[in-house]
Amino acid sequence: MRRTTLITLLSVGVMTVALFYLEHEVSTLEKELEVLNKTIVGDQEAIRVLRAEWSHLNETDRLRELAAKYLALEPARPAQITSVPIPAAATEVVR
Amino acid sequence: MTDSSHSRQVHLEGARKEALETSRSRLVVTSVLFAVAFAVISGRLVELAVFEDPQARATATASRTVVQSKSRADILDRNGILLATSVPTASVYANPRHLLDARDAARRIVTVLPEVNEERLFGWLNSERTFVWIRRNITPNQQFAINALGLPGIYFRRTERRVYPHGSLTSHVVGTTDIDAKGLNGIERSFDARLQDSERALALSLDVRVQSVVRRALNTAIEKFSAVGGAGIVVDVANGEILALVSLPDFEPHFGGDVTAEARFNRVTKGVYEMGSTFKLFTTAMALDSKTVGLNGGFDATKPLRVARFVINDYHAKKRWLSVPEILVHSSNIGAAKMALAVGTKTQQAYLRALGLTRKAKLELPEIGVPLIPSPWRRISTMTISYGHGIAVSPLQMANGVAALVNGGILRDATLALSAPDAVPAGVQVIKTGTSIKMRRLMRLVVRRGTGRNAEVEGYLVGGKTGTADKPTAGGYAASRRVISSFVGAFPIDRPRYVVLAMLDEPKGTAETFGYATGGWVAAPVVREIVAALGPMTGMAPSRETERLPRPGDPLYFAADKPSQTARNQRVRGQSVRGPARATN
Repeated sequence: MRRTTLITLLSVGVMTVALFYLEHEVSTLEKELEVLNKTIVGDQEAIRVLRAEWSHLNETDRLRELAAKYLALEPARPAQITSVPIPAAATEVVR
Repeated sequence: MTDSSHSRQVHLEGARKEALETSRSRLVVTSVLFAVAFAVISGRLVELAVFEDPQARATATASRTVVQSKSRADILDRNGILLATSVPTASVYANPRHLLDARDAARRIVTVLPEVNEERLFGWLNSERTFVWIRRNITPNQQFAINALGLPGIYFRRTERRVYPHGSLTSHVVGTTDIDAKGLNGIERSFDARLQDSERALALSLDVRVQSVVRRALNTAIEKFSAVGGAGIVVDVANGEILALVSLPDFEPHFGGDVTAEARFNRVTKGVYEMGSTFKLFTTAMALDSKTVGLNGGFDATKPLRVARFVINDYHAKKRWLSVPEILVHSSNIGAAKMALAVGTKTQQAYLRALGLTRKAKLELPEIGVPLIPSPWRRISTMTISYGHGIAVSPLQMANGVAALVNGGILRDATLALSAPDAVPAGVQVIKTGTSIKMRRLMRLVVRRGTGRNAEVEGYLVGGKTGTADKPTAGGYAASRRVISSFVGAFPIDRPRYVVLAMLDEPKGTAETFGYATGGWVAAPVVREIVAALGPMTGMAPSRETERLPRPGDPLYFAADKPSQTARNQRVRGQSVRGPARATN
């Protein structure tokens, strides 16, 4: 009878400590998770803003001005578009 | 010890023994109950830990998912370019009861938010309320600055703001929302529920590049000809997708309420106009399709047509018998009116109905205009409608109808929603494929030899029709010519892919156009500019082979006009017209 009581008390003690550590660990992890989630939401919002800004920077009128200013290129003219038939020899080489 | 206790137990007698027995049995029952309870819990633990339970898994992961505030879905163009999005912003509010010194707080806040009136702000802060908005949607810098003031009673709330990165470029299509992110007009309104419920982005058929080209070309023309407005639309003839839809003047969507009704008005879909001679395309198509007349047939256009008190005259009067191709090329009102009479009112109504010109257009926008059709539909209506007067339709309906004329005769509702690639929506065959092919040749002829010469693009074969309509005013038509000038074209005309329509509202002629503000002079060059940019943009190979011209004997060949004839010949003097049957280009 006494031995069983001892064993029981011991296991209760061990379990309490184990449970305490487990709880502690879980709450630490949960706090970490919360921080991470907050960061993710923050990042997602930042991405939204950046995407909007990127789209705004790609405004067609702005790009046209920039292209005219910095590039020695102009919009393609119809005469510059052509379709090149692939010679039979070339397709054979590819195969 | 065991022996002695045992022996003692044995000696227990009577009531005492009974009491002990009872407690023992109670203990046994209790421990059995506990054992069962523990066994059930252990069993459940094993079940959860060892066996897969999807529901339990969902519960476990649910608490772990990132909680993000739901925002209104984005709107994209066909290439995934962001047209509308929601960005998080901060809004600043105050709890006046927490404030220490309202006067000081107001004075310091306006240093950060100069657009806020200090006296008004003081009034708000000095009130007995517990919540007052100071300003919605402030910038992060402003938020930082207000925070740095260290005022008690001033708080922030996370709000969302609708942003349109491309500004006014797509304002009429995309539309706007109110301050609580509810759709007010455009796609924002028509897809309001969809944008609120799902966070999945909504892709439109619009292409910002094409949109930009159309807007720029129209804007240039509006400035050049001092027009009050303009409309432009590019439709894919194969599936009815709208690549560009421009109504000018447009508006900056971020300015919300400070936009004039004029700028907010969508001329392409909401506005209905008497389109003028572009309607002759429909008249010709129905005459050919119903076999009323062949390409070789024609009508006498020697004398102005007198009906009741109206006189129908020609702007480019030839004063002779004209073949069907000639009627279209010279844009003869007399010829068109006679053609319509030959077709008959019933047939005309049936064709116009089939081409979707007598009912409200179907499009994913709330701003759709109802066409104005004559009631009753008299003989004179049949005649004036033949050249686009006495019936008012939206440019959208016009472009869509012309798409059906050139794509083999199938009418499909125009759409702003991006359909799956290669998915061809079902349409209604409204004219025969053969008629459609004839119409392509005739439209090409108008650009090559007729009033549409200014739409000629080197590299792509453009076909189309000009239109110049007098604007109706109260009780008749304007004394000084106030016109709607338009050009509707399709290209490449041998295998049409796009229909392009450009329309200018009240353009005024310049020295360069010899004072003319007709469709051929002001709208056709807009279409030329759009086609010249749109072709290479879509990687369309230009037609390199020399165009096969009509030869003598072909109904489309007429020897009287030399190909070198310049567009200047459009000038005709001595018009004598009055009433609604006034001549058009």
